[in-house]
Amino acid sequence: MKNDAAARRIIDDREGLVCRWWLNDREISPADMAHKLTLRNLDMHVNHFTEIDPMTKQPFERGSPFISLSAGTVERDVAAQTNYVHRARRTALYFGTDFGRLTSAYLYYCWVILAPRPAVEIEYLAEEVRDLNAYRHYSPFQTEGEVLAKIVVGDNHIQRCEKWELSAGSTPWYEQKWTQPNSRFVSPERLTNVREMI
Amino acid sequence: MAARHLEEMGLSEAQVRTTVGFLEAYANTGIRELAAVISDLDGNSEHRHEALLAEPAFTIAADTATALCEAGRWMLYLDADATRSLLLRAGRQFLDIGQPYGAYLVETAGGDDVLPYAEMLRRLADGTADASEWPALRHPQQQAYLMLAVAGSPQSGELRQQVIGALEASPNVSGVAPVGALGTPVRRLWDIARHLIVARPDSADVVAGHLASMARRYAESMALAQVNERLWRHGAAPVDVGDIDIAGVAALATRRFGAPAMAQGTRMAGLSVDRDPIALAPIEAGMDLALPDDPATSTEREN
Repeated sequence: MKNDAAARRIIDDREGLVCRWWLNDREISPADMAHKLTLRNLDMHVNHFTEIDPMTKQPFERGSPFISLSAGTVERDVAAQTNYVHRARRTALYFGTDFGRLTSAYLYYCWVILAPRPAVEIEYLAEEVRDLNAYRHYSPFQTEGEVLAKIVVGDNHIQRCEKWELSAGSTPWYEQKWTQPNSRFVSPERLTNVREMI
Repeated sequence: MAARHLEEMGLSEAQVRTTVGFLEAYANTGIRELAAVISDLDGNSEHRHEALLAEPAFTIAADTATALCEAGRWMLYLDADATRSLLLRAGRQFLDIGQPYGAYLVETAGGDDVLPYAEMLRRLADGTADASEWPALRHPQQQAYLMLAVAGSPQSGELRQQVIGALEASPNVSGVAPVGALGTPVRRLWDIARHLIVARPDSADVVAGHLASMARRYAESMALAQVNERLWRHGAAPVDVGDIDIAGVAALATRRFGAPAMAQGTRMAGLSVDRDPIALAPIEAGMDLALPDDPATSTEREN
């Protein structure tokens, strides 16, 4: 993100979170999407993001139809069994600061619908990415990790944007500088069919 | 400490230090948030403990402890003093929220904290962990870390019989519950704890054999994680590059049996510097954690 104005536009101008393919090509079509949403490209996004795509001869990241999101939950039993608490915020800040090299980051709080099984071709379902060979914080509960959205996360899925900035000094820390709420946010609870009963 | 281990893994010291800087800053953020959440307490330690176990304090404290522990793991191959300091802070934070894993980190770091091991062992033995300050002890994983910590601690002498009794009475002797980042079967850690406490003549070799098995698994995981070059280079691969399960056991065993015995044991278990540099990395780093100020016992020379 270039600056505060660009960060706010994602909510204010209803841009939403757009994949790099759309950002770079500007014009995409439903037929193109079908070609892009493949298992092969999902593997490229997860494991070979910056490498040259043999099919396009360009870095894969330029044409990726996926958007990486961080998901996290804190369950005590999982924490006791893994000694590892995964909050989405830590991962998001690390990626948002370009792996700790930048002093500020913009975090967007949003929701997506997860596919219960791999469904890479379905644009409106996000994929939970879990490489069990490489993923070493053993957890039988699978409640955390990377989620891939496809093409775009609509602006009304975004609850807010936060700007975090490194406050330098003898004990540096990340300070939340501002929050931009989204008045058009639609809560995911609207989708639930669970009824409250007395 | 050996930065060469990082070079062998294709990681830059600069990125590791950047990652540690991020994690420390993140932990400092959590400490500030925690202070704000529990600031209205009257300083009573019992009230503080209760407050830490309630939300949102528990999540913030656990997140902070995780970040400190991660930072310590990253420093494992660069700076023993910094690693010990980070693990000590992480361990104390984990103990504050009732996680015996914290005791393992404190002992790995060589902290001189006097921990309530007798009470924890009693709760474990009579099955009343749920009603105690240590409800996490109902999990085999936390039990394993407690047994490693107490068996490797300076307090182990006075608790010897209680520890041996707890070890022998537990189904973990043959348990297969996965523990730690490597998913090590709990029976292996249980056996390591038993040898740390009984210290038979062959115990160093047995522990070194267990370490070698874990280290081979570690080397394989590192190789798999390097497939994703971008995450690997930026310290974002979902693996523990500095494996504190291996390094911690190596540190505890080195304090118990000595560096020469552990170096010989790992050689006997088939690990060599030329053939298995990655597998040996966390073992050597753990041995250095145990013997920070004695260059004569440096693992660089032993191997």
